[in-house]
Amino acid sequence: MNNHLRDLREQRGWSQAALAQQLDVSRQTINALETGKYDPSLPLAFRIARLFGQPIESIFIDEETA
Amino acid sequence: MSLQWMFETSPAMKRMYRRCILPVLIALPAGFITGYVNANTEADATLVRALVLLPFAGLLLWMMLIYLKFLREADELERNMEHLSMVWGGFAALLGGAMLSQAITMGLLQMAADIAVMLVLGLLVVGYTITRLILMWRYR
Repeated sequence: MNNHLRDLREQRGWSQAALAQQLDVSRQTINALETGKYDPSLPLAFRIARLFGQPIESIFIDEETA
Repeated sequence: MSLQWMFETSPAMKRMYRRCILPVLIALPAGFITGYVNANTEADATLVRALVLLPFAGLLLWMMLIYLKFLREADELERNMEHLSMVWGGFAALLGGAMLSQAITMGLLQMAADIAVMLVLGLLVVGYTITRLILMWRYR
């Protein structure tokens, strides 16, 4: 699954570590999400969406419908 | 090549390390007392030795509860990494233990039981550590 996490984070000038701290996850998790090596669970996806104030579907892209 | 990824800790892991400080501090005098009692107790005083070991069982249980709390608090990727590492470590120990047992039964190997147990535990630790390092490197 692709996502716009890196763009959103960079727009706000946050480092991976800073974003990880706000989401209470490890920096590796942020890196794995940004590089598409790992897909988040629904609760984490909702937390990310809440943090950036955007709907989930505008952050995470379903490759089959894109 | 930077090896910083090997030493990065997640929020849940930091909390686990903090929680481990007290049991580790208690384990040090407990170890001293156990050694002292062991050295100054008659060889047939099995009950005394067993009672002295009880605090260690309590400490191990405490550490296990801290680890389980860490697993609950860890983020999903970290939890997956822990689970996979434990599975690979467990399989290494299971297969190694079975092969070792067969080799001893068939007379191909001769070793004391405590050495065999140490070998199996070693396989568990090595399997866990290698898998954990590979996963940490993958998601660095």
